Amino acid sequence: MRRNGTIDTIKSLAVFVALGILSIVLVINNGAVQRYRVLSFSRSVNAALWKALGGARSASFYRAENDRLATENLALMQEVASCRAAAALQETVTDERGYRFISAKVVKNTTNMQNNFLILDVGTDNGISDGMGVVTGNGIVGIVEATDRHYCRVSSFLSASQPASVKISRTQAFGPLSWSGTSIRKAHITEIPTHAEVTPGDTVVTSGFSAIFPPEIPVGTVTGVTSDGIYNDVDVDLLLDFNSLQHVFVVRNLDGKEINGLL
Amino acid sequence: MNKQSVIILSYVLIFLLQVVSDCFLDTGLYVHICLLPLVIIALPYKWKPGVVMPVAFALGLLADILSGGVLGVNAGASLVASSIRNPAYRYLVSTDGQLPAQIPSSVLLHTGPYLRYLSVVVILYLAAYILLDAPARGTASFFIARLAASAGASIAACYALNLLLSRN
Repeated sequence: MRRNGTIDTIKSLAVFVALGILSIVLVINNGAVQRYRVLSFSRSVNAALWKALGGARSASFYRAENDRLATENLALMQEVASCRAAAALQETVTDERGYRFISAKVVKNTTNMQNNFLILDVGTDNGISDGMGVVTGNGIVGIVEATDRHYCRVSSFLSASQPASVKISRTQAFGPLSWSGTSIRKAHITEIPTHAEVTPGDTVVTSGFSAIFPPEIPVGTVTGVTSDGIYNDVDVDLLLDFNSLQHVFVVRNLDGKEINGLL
Repeated sequence: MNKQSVIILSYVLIFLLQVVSDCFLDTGLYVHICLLPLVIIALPYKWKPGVVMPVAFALGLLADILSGGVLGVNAGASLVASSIRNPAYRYLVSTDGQLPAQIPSSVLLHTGPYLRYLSVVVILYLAAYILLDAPARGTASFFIARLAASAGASIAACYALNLLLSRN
């Protein structure tokens, strides 16, 4: 008898709970204001729960995840610092020789043609004009050959007719550096006099003899020297990997007009 | 028409009166007249709670549908009222713990016990109704004021109808 009463009570409770849930669901689904209130309430409850659980998680199985995020944060902070440095370089830095650098992003880059080119996301609105040099910290990229308002086209160093004036850092012997045409990491310097001492392993840097590229930008290392009796032909391994180019600097020589006017 | 049919028809009319009241009677922000508790009280006491509650829920839902209100408000309130009906009767009215064989009325139970019983069922019905309906403007003071005003009006209306039914 008592057992039957208990079963009835449980059944009644189950019916009450089921119908109660049903009525609440109906109200939430059919009353816009009620739905808004319930969602607001559930969001606040969720927020409180997540906040409460956050501590426990970080203390146990999410510790590794936190470590990973901390490492990632550090890397991002370093990247931000680099970006700020680049921005500062773009806006304010002018070196002692009167060169200004404008940061640019590579939009398109070819490396498999006889005369390769790049498209950069800077144009006349950014102060870019034809004839400006394009460099990175690892070498010469090319020369601006056409400009639009927001973009410019750069004749890549990886072109048959795009020599740049370089010198051997150790001996100051200079000559034109040209792309070999066979590999994107190979170039050669011609017209270096035979009396100039050049040995494999020497560093090749920009000479600064043109008004296009600033001096002392490392370009590559000497890998071999051949002589025809009058001039040495120097093989160079380029430091710059054209296949991974993403950011470059366009060089504006503030004294460029003055220098060109004297030529 | 026998007496049983008349009683059933009377409560059907009370149910329809509730729908009409919800649809056309503008009682303002604070007053909601509910007559469904009278119908819930009248449901047979020989039915088990597991049957009474779904029936009351269905009646409330039907009222919501017919009156064009938010579905679930009257249904939920009817569920609460039907779940409290039997315990309230046993605690407030019955002397021997038994449920009534007939529909409780002021004539059958006398005014005092009947009013206490009716009041508890109506107040709980309204509390559930306002909680489901009032999130739009749900402050404690509003809840209490609305509950008090609605309970007063509803108990008066239900008692008047009870008197009317008892005479017949």
